[in-house]
Amino acid sequence: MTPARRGSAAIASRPGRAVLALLLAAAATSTPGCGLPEKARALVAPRPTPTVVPTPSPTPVPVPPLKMEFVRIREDRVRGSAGTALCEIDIQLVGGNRSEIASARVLVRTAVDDLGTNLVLDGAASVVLEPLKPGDPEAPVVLPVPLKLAARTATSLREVSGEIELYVPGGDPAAAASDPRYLRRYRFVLKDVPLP
Amino acid sequence: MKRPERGLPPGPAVAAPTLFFLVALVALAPPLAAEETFRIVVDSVSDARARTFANDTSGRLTLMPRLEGDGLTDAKAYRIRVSAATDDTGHDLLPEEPATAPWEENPAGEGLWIHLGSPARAATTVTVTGAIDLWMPKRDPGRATPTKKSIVSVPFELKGVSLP
Repeated sequence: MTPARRGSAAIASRPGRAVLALLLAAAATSTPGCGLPEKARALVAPRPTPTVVPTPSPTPVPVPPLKMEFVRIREDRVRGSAGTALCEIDIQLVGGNRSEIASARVLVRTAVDDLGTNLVLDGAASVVLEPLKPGDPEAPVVLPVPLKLAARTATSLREVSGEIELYVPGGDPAAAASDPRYLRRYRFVLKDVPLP
Repeated sequence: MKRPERGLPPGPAVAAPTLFFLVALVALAPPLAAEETFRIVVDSVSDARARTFANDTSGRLTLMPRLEGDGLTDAKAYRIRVSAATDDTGHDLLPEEPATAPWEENPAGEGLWIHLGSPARAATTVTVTGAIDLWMPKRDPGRATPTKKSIVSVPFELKGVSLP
């Protein structure tokens, strides 16, 4: 090709390239609603990155100390249709405010008499929180610790231990029944309790 | 724990020798004909016991007897009077102030329950003696309430009633 022909071809292709460049530029700078359909833009547009907002973790309420006192142990030994046999130890929560405690439960982990017999009731680990028995708001809070009956030949309980859980929502109307922030857990241990 | 009994429903009851003793007494009692017998069955017992933080103990033993037999046919009401009660360790179980025995029209009613003091923990059985009164209105038709004439008293002994 002669230099003249090369020059004329170059001149002839310049307008086509310019048009193509203009179209591409227009597509690249197009704004929403005025160019590619939404779906097509979603395919090429970068994915939005969700902003991570840190959720405040529940702040556990400090568990105030609680004094517990052994009140009594009672047995109902029965035969025939005389009722239901039971053994319960009553523990008083000294200073516990009845009006603040919505519910409570006693989880007995260990209960052994002096004969070595295990007195933990079946299902003792799955006891649910129960509302306190209604009574005088000023009356002391006494929780029963249920056990199996010891044999008559046993004379004492070598050890009874476990946890007492109190649900104390503190007047929070939005508190869920299982909100761990309001659950107070106390360990109790009783040793060498003489049987009645 | 069940104890074998002759002709009794399942469940612990008065020991067989006690039953025999009681039936014999009833049969020999002059006011009743020889074929009119009854028995006392104790198959329900409650032993409620407690000990406080101060080591004070309390409790009550309740025997829940029932009367059964042909000898009760003409009786309108019953009562049980206890004169002695001990456990097998020798503890006296009679209450210091025993309540007056009420008349009970149901031969298995609550009015026949025997309320005693708490037996020793180490005790295994109790023995109770007393009398069963039957009010038989036909013996004194002119009276609407129990009289000496219309009451038949039968001594009893519940021996070796096992504790729960």
